[in-house]
Amino acid sequence: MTQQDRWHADTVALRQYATGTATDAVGWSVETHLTGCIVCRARLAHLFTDADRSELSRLRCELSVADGLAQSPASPRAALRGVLGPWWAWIGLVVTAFTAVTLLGVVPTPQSGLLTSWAHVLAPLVPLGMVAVVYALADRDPAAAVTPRGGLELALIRTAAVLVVTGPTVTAGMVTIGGGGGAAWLLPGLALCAGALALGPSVGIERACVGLTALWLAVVAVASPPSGLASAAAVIQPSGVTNALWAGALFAAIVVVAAQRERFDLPGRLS
Amino acid sequence: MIRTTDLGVTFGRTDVLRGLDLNLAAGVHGLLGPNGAGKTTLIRVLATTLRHDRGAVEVLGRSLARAKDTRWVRERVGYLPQSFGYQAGFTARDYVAYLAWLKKVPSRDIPPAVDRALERVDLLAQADRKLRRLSGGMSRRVGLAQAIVNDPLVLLLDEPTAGLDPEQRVAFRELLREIGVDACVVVSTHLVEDVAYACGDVRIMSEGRIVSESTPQELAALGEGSDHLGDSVIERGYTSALTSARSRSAR
Repeated sequence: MTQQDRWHADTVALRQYATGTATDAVGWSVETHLTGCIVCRARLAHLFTDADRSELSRLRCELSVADGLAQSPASPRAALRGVLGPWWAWIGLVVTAFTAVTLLGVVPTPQSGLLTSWAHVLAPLVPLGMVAVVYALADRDPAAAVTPRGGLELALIRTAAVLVVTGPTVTAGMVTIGGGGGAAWLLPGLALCAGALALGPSVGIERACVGLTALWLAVVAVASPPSGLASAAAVIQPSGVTNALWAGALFAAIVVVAAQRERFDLPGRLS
Repeated sequence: MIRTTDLGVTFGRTDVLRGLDLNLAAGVHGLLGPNGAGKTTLIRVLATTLRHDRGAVEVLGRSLARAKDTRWVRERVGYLPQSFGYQAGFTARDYVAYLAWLKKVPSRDIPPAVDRALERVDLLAQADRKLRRLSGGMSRRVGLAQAIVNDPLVLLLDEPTAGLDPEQRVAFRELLREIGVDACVVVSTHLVEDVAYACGDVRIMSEGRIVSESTPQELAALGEGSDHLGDSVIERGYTSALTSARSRSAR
């Protein structure tokens, strides 16, 4: 007998069976039929609501626990590890960032007088670089990319974690080398990170980080001798005017991220 | 549960998918075809990882054109890509737990869901081994475990049996049939035997189109008495269907 020429359970009976409201006779009849009919099993699956499904998942989980599964449960640590990468990488990044800032503070800048210190002009790159490293260490996984949390949510958590860690680290380094402007690097640093997020859906976050870093380094190069362009130096050195400029850039980047937040969670063309 | 209308994808100047119509209900559906036929591209579009250029795609009744619907679909889809990347130092259990979290499995349910998924692919005993120390077949099964950890309604598998030994293949087909009872499972493969034993129906793809649609039995019948290449009747049926599709398109 083929699937086509046999009878199928009627929808009312199937719904009664699914909700547990069928009489014994109807319930048994439907159940017996279901064991042999793939068509009606599929129809039954469609009668379940999302609430039924999550109840089913919960029951399956409880049964698994009763079966002795999940004896050594996967902890939330696994998720944290997946989101942020291995903890030792973070320790390494913090130590590197602090050391780099303090060392750059004592390297003499070119004599032109346009640049205050290497530390001041390079510190804003630290969070950006760290976001790139976290992405490089964490993900090359197409399976993770198509999850509901794999888009904007993941990008925001990672960027926030980087800022929480780099903020105090770099500021501490700047205070250590002295010369004032301990937290002045923060505004361009934040603007660059937000810029990377804003470019993320179009070019990918890692590539955005690399591109913005290259752009910033190009400006530093132009501001240094021999060209020593004063306008370039003004952009990267903290002052009242540049602070307003970077605050504006930060705001604009946040607006762009908010405006295209949907694009983080849509199928893309980036591999 | 999956419906595409006139689906088209173009890479550069190459049409990888050309006007593909698909309508899939619950069950295990096989996608067969030579390399470059567009199987992987189709799976990637359905898995919401690749944007299509033309036509429409609906998964579980939702279009993939809106982010809200895409997130909704992503919670209910399982996807095994051809190769998956993972962090050095991850154990099988950590990796599947991370994916479960990304798929919004409630955190209370993650530990039992992870162990259940690993048990279904027969890897519970190796759950705490590092992924990089697992054999090719084992890491393929870890990939499958992450795909089913959220009890997906649509399961998309790209070359799932690559690297599995014969015994694991048999167990794997059994698992597919079990999941296919109420979920829509799409298996892309170039191994005809996978289709013969696990799938309820088979679509053959060639040059970005579906050129034939049949049951494995019909494919085997086509191979009976055919003098086309192949070691089994169903393989001969496959090459015969492919050859006649090619000669049709050449005309």
